[in-house]
Amino acid sequence: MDKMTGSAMGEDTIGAIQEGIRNIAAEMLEAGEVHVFIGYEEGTLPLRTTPAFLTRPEDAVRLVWGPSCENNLAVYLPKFKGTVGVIVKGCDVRTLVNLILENQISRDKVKIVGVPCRGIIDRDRVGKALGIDRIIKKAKATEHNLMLEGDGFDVKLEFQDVLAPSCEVCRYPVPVLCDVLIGDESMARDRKDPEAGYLEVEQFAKLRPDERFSYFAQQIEGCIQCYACRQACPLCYCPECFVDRQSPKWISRWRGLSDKILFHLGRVLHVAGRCVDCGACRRACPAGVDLRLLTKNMEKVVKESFQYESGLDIGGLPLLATYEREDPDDFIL
Amino acid sequence: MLDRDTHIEAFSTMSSPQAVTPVQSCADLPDKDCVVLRAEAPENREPKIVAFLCNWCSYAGADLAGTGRIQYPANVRVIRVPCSGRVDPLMILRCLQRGADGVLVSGCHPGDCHYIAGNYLARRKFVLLDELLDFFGIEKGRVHFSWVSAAEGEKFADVVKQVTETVKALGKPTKLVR
Repeated sequence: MDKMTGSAMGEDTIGAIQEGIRNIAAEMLEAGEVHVFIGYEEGTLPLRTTPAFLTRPEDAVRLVWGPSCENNLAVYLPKFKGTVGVIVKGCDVRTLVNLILENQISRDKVKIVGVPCRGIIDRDRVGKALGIDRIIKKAKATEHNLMLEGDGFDVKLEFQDVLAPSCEVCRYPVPVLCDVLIGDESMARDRKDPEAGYLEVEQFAKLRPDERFSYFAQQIEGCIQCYACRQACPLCYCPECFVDRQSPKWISRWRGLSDKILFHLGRVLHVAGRCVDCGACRRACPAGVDLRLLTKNMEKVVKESFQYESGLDIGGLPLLATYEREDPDDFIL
Repeated sequence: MLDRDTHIEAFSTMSSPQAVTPVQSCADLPDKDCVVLRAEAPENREPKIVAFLCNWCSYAGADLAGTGRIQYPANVRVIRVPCSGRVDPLMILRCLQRGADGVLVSGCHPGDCHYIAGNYLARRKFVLLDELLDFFGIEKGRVHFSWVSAAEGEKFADVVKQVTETVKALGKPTKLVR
């Protein structure tokens, strides 16, 4: 891996992956292996990419790869009837595994193109590093740096400083399941220990209950109930979400903290044992609500109580569809 | 000013002996507010506990406690469910949201489920809910789970006593209430 770390080489790594993606997409579409190929194309703004749905091989040149390819493309899969080719990062593929496990898509209807992931950038962190009112006109990413240009500034940021929080503690940067892996495993980030991801949660758990509640209440207060988090989440595929139900009406038209809390707790419970910390909900939120601590804590609880880790295996049963006689029950009277 | 529940609570306290000693000076308050103050005073406040009881075990256990004339606090409001596995964690949250002081979910002992594995599946959900509420900062002790069989009238009474005491000690809920 050290051999690859020169900045010129780094640029090449990203370029090589992009080239690989374009080739494989064109190949698959040409051969008629897939009806649609889902990847990323250049967005309308710097540091933005947008999902691309390709049906013709000649369109493959539109596809791009880089640290701003943030969307979890697995979210679109249950919507397609034919065979679909899709680009996945390490976290995305784990949601895809869950979709297969829960019979939302069938394994033979999806061609998984895995990408060894170096992490994606968090635009909030970029904004913070740059300061306010700086409009980025041009952005370029290399292995270790992010070059940003705009009116009157030309900044070189360390990639490490603007990495998304989920990526910082990523345990599976290399897709656990794929038909084709672009490049090789050495191009991915180093695997982090599971404990590293739980440090933040453990620190937070040391606060008094009131302090914890007021932190979450503050976050949730900002929620405008647009449900963008639900839309962005690949695991929120219910045809009728509990928040949309008329009977029972879980969430009323009244926009108060209590109802917002019910929504967010309900959502965390619904993705418990399934969430893979891909960060799609957090990125989708227009109000900046960050409840990553809640989902991360659930992941920790699930791991400690049931020795289960979500999205690693397409065999077996989902966490809550099965049980063990020895499950913890010391809390039961 | 006063919602329906507070009214009912106020009137029920008026006729109970506990209401005789006011805990706070309410000399310059109108009569009805004074009653509410007494009803809301921590030591006079009787918690409301919603109990989801499984039809096959705990509900029958509660029934046995009744026919056996075993005394237990009248704070529980029983909702009969076909199985503890029927209890969606959202129902528990909804109870807390609508002002219940506590929630008790009771089902069959492991291995005794009428539907073979309903209580085992429920147990997994309850582990998650329990940990989630704790981490979220909701007081431990608002939500309780128990296994009570149809033959355990005595245990049901004990569980209700224990739950009522714990919930009473926590005082009035504020965090999730609408």
